[in-house]
Amino acid sequence: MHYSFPLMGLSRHRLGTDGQGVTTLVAAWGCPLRCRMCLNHRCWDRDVPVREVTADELYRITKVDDLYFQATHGGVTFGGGEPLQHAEFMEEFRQIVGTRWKVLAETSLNVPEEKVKTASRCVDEFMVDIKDMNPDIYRSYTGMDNHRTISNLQKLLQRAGGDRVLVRVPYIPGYNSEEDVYKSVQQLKTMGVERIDVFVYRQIKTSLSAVTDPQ
Amino acid sequence: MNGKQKCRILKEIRQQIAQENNIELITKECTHKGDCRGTCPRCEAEVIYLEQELEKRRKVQKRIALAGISAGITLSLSSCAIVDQTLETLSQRIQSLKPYSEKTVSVDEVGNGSQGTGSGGEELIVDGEIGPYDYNGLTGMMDS
Repeated sequence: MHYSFPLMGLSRHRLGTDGQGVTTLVAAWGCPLRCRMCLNHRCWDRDVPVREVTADELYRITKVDDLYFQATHGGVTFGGGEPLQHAEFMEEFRQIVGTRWKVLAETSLNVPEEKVKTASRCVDEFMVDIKDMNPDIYRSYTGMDNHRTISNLQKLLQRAGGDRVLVRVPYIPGYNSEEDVYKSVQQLKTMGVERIDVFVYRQIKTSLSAVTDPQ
Repeated sequence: MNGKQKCRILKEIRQQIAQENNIELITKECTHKGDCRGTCPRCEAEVIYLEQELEKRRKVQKRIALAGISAGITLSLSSCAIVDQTLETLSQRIQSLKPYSEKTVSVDEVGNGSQGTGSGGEELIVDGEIGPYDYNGLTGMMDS
């Protein structure tokens, strides 16, 4: 069986942004979350043009940068949207590219456990956008519960190992505080997360105001 | 990182590939004024040329040096890609939090930032959005 991937956009020649080396970010349409400061709100806009591609097609599209990938230990980063909704596709893609390219995923982990299990077999590195570990803050910011996210993170750490998991903890003005960030970091460390990246959301585009106003 | 910087790094990678495989690669100095996407038809032509030369070597079973030969170039980028040095880092601010003063958090503790999206405590600028996929030109459509 061949799976398809709702390709919403792609970005070539990303350097040091999505993992080591030169990477191409491929963005999946569709996300279970509705983050108030979503960078890619097109991923849940039904009017956005989406091209369904097979793993073979995506390989043909991305292999234009094969030399860069191989020379720098780079590869393809699946983002979105929520790419782990298409974990089976990612596994098929991995079978095509083998170990020559890195396969990375930027994910919220708010997906069925089975998807995480599949992805853990084929993804070299996970960049987990955890939002905030506090369920109330998470719900306020994403509109969703984070119970599944935390459970999946625990299982991913067991399956993939801490070195393959980078957890990103944002300070989101209007939604969490620096204390909340600190608490999240401490909780993640207790869970066994080895790689944590703390950063700050800073709104610089007025066009984002509609989705960033917490009121 | 702007397009010109990206272009320079990609060119360096191409030159390394050529050098490691004894391929003669004559690059012309780019005369384009203003910013670019980091690649252009001339850059892409060099990639194709390298691919063709490597394929010739494969056919005669010559050794190909490719895997990781330019890893060092991009490794150094990971820690500085999106740092805004003028801003107080979040971890510094966390250190100043009174309720946790008995166990403050250092930059190293908060995040190792060994790769990926930058080192711990950086400020990520929420900027840009994913543009539509360019079916024909395959040009990068998202800000990085």
